[in-house]
Amino acid sequence: MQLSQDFIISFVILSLLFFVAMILWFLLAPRLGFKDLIKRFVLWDILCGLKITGIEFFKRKKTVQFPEEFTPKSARFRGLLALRRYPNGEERCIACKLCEAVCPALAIKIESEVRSDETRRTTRFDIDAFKCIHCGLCEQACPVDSIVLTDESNYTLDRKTQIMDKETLLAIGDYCEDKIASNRAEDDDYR
Amino acid sequence: MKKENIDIEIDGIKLSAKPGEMLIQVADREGIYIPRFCYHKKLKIAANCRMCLVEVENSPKTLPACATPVTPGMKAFTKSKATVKSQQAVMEFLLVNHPLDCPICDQGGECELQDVAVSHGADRSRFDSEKRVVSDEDLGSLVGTEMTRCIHCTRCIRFCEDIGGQKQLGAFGRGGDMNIGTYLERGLQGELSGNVIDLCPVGALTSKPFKYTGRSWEFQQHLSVSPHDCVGSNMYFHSFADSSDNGSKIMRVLPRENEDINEIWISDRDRFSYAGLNSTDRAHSPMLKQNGKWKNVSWQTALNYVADSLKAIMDAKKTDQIGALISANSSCEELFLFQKLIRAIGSNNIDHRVTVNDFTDEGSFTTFPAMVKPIATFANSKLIILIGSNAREEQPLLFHKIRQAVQNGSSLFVINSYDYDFACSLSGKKIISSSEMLEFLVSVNHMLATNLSVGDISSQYAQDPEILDLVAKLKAANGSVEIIAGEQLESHIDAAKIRSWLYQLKVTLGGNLHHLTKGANAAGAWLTGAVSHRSEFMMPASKKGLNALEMLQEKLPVYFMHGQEAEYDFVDPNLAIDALKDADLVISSTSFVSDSMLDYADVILPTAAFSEFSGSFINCEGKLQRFNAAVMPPGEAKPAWKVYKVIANLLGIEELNYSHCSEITSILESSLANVSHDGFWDLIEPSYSDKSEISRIGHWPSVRADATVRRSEPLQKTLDENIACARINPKYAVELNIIDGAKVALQQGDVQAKYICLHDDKVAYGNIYLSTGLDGNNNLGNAYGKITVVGVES
Repeated sequence: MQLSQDFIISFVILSLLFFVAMILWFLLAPRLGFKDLIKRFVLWDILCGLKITGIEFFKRKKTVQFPEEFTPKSARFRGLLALRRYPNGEERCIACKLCEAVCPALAIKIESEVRSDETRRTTRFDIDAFKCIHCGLCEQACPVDSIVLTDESNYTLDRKTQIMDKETLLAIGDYCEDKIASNRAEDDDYR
Repeated sequence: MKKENIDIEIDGIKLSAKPGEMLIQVADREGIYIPRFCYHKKLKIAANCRMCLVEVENSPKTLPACATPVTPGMKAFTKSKATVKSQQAVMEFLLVNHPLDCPICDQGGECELQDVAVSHGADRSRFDSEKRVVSDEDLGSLVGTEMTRCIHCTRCIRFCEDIGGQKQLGAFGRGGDMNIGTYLERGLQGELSGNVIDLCPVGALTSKPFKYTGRSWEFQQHLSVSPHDCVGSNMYFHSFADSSDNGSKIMRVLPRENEDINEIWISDRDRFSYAGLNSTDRAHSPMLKQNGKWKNVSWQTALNYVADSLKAIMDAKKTDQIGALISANSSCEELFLFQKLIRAIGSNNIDHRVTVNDFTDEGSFTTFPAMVKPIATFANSKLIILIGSNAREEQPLLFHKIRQAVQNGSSLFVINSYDYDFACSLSGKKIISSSEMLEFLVSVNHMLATNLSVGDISSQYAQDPEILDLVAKLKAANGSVEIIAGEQLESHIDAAKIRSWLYQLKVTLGGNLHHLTKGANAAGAWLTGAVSHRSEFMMPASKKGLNALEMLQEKLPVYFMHGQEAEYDFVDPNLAIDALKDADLVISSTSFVSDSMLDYADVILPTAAFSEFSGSFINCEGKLQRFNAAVMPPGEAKPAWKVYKVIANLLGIEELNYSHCSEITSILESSLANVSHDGFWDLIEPSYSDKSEISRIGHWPSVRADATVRRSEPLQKTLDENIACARINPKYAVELNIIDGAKVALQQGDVQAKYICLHDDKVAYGNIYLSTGLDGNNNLGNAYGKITVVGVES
């Protein structure tokens, strides 16, 4: 009982304040046309907004259920780094060190030697994934299409795995080869 | 009559040129760039690459700038339409057969063809036929080939012929079938052969040890000086600029231009010795031998042990029982501090002359054994006499100057005990047994001067055609005689007497007497007082100490060695090893540890090898040259000058209190100003040894000369496969009943060993030639001592 009495008192005070505010507003606000006045009283703008909501409510949904679903990617997506092999299994890299030279982040470290079959090969091919800025200049510089940026973007690296060595990079290349090849075929006309 | 200069115009710039100069020479001097492949300022002009075609006014076609002499009023245009068109056409032809393997080519990044193709070539290729492929040449263990890349500029051919002195490479076939190759299938030989790598404008000739290990753009360049011979060639060390784990490694060595010394060349030994620096024999941490077992210890322990041992000797007042032997390849600063330390301890037994047999005339040198005249002026001398020297192998860049002199028309006369191949035309030679060399010189002197009080013309030589030839030449030379006493004479048993008679020859004729020494810094060692009879800066020592040979003969209880390997570096390795094994304490501060060292040494202090410390060398003409440290020493190794400073501190000696070794360099530099390097000898009465005895001729092959080169694999592969055999003159062999290829037992002192004996008519009659410093013979005795044949197996 006590509560409802308080409620009624506060409602009356608030209503009075509202009326005072309305009167002040009518007196002080710039003059509006009749149409605008009606729009304001029927909350027209809010209805317009709700119209979009209503349309979207019945449209086809765009949310992707990651990780069960993936968004589509460009063939040129620059993701995880990899080293490729030739179809016969031979590594492509010839240790020309052009990627090392062009890398703006100095993320690549290569050491080379003469392999037993007299070819020029790397003994060390390390990429610091934390330094890499995925600019793709290494891919552009490579004369044998060995170093590539795959479209793989879902990976984590930590302080223990940030240096990707030659074995890792080649393994990534082997794992992604089909995708790399198809992406490159798709983009071939523009290279 | 002096010809007047000609006025010409290149690209509208008015220039003045000397008559007979080529257009490209004028352009180069004025800094106007004309592309070129075959032209090289140090080689003869060939004009076969056609890259330097330029338009010249009033000429119907463009002309090769390298073979067009300037004419008065000539107007050349290096950037005109016609010039650019010809250059693009030539470039297109050159690229027709050049493979597109720049990514794997070692020349990539420093390739003249690459640069010129970008700057003067067309922007696309019109060639779609097959490119030719050329099979590779085997040029030995130093120069690698990829002949498909060759553009036939013939620089290498001209280099071998004019600079190297041997016609080894040639062009075979014509037109599209032209190939560069060797005339004989024995690889590229010669002491300067590595320079073709620098000369080759493309990647056809590359360095084999460097193959595929680095690219030109990733190196940091460090100034340095050759640490292998007394000429002091200027060179660059290249190490990776990135200082990760491989940062402290020398990747290659290139020449540094110095017109006064090495021009633009360096010897193969200087170029490829870096391979030895990364040897597994490097000393990484201080080691102590305790109860016959080696233990790695900390620097503190090792240095305290050394200081305590030395202190005990000082307290017992037995400091004259310390023998100090330092390598002549050490820097001036190391030598200076080492001798100061030893002298402060109280011993004068300090020496670097471990290859010397005769010390009696050590007082005759005013400063040090030196070239009295700058090396650069040798090309103008009239008559050069080379005695006891294989300068071509031992001081290649000095011999290059001598060869130039010969090409300019001067005469070269050689007096040796082995007929070395000098690859240049000798005007005369006398191949004479080492024991008769003195007699020969005495006779020459008497034939030239009649008023000599000692000695006489030997009846044997009175009518000898070679001596008459030499005497005639000496008389004709009219005072302009350069007598060069070589490295091998330094080790001769009678070196002092021979030098005194050579000096007499110089006095009679005028001219100069020069001395060559083994090691890079023997001059520095003399100057800093690392000799037994003199203290620093030619001051007499407080008391004359024992020289290197006496130290070993006396069998001292304590030896302090720096940078020496007893079994290879000493003239009498057997004597050295015996003395060191009998000693109570052998302290060896060294960069390389050998098995034998582990046997005789008690303390091993690992010191930085050359390229890992800064300092200076004084070359044979008395020129002080500084060099910088290029890389860090491996493991715990430290620069030797720091080690000596700490030992001195531990002993409470204050004389070594220099804050940095460069302070010493400045003192040395000022002491060298206005010093004459002449020496003075009194004639010594000749006494001839018994001719029935056989003398050994056993010099160090150039690639066995010091610890670093001995560990350089590519250089070791250049050694003759028969190097370990004894050699004997066939006539003499008949007398001794030795057939070619027989196994003979040779004896020196009380050591005996068996060798295959080859007949070789290059050896003087009366000598046995058996190299020192090899793995096989290091246990035989004195390299220039008596040797006896004790048995022959057929």
